[in-house]
Amino acid sequence: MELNQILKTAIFAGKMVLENGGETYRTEDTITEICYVYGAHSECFATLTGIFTYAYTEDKNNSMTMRIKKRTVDLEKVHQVNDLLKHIKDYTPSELLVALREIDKIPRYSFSINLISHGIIAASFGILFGSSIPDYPATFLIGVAIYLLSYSFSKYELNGIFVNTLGGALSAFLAHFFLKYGFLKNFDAAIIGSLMSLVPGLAITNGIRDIIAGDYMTGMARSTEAILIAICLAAGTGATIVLLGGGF
Amino acid sequence: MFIEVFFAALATVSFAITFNVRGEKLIFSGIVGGVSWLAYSLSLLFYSSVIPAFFIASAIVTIVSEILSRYLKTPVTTLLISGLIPLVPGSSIYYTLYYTILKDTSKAFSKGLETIFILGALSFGIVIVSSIYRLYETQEKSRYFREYNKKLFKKSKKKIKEN
Repeated sequence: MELNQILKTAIFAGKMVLENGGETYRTEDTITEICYVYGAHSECFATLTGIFTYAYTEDKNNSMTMRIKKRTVDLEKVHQVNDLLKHIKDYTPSELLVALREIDKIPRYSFSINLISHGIIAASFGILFGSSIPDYPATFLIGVAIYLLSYSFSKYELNGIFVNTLGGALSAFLAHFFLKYGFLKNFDAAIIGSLMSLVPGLAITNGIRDIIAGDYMTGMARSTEAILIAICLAAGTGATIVLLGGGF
Repeated sequence: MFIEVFFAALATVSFAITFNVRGEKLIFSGIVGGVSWLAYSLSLLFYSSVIPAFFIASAIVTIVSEILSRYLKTPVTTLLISGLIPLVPGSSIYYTLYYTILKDTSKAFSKGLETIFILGALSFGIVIVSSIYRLYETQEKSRYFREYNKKLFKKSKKKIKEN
């Protein structure tokens, strides 16, 4: 079989797993497994921002690099790729590539469903962090506003720093506004709840998991990204609270 | 407490929607999220510190999602990421940086240390349980292969006798 095609397919599958929230070890396993099934040996090294693969058969060798620029969490795609690999023996490499491209086209939930669920996230976490049921609608609105902000800026492909700072500022501003007019009682819980969809707690947890598993590079990258986001959020909220004249 | 568990499950389902989890997995991720908050608040009754509570909760979440993921035939990540959401120490991270901005260094330091301990407890809970699960799984597999090999061996012996 053509080594080039095998490598292309394998690295595309790896890219899909890594871009959509799979772990690095899962990416490496995916690539190695696909190469192995089609009769090529491979060495793969994946980090958070790129995949490097080298594959060889008895008389040929080839290598390929893939840069990962955007990362989202889309667990349906990870699930589908995983499902596909269970039946890998029914496909040739080029057919597998077509099937993977087909999976890549799976849509996300619609805008309005996402909007509502961001509102529910904010309000429910507000309650978990100690606010009460009367605060629910106000926190819901703050969560919706933050999603609208990050959605409208996602078209421009700005870096995360700007959007997160702005998100923190917006949540603090709205919470201050609602507090002033009596829609809110617990200021802190509303802010934390509404920032929960931006707060990188999960990224830090995954980073530490990676470090424990021995992927130091990915772990450090994830943790650094998460800490940067957290600092941005704090800067946004802190600056807004200062400007509105509260607290400091 | 049960109101909180309900809201934890609700938050987990909404997070799973933003993570594009589909079908029956959505319901199960909600269950895992509810279980995680229930385990956390139940273990807070027995320990005065939050750190063992986080450890126990993350261990229980990992067990539940490993078992459910086998049942649903999906990678563990699908359920584990959603199930961990209620436990993620968003508030500690927020307060750490909040106190840092306030220049209240001692409070910021203690909150930061608490955050690091919580994160460590969460990831240790996951890593230990999933390693034990892997051990169990590989043992099952190797037992299966051993029996399979024995059967093959007997068959080949019979064939030799028949010949």
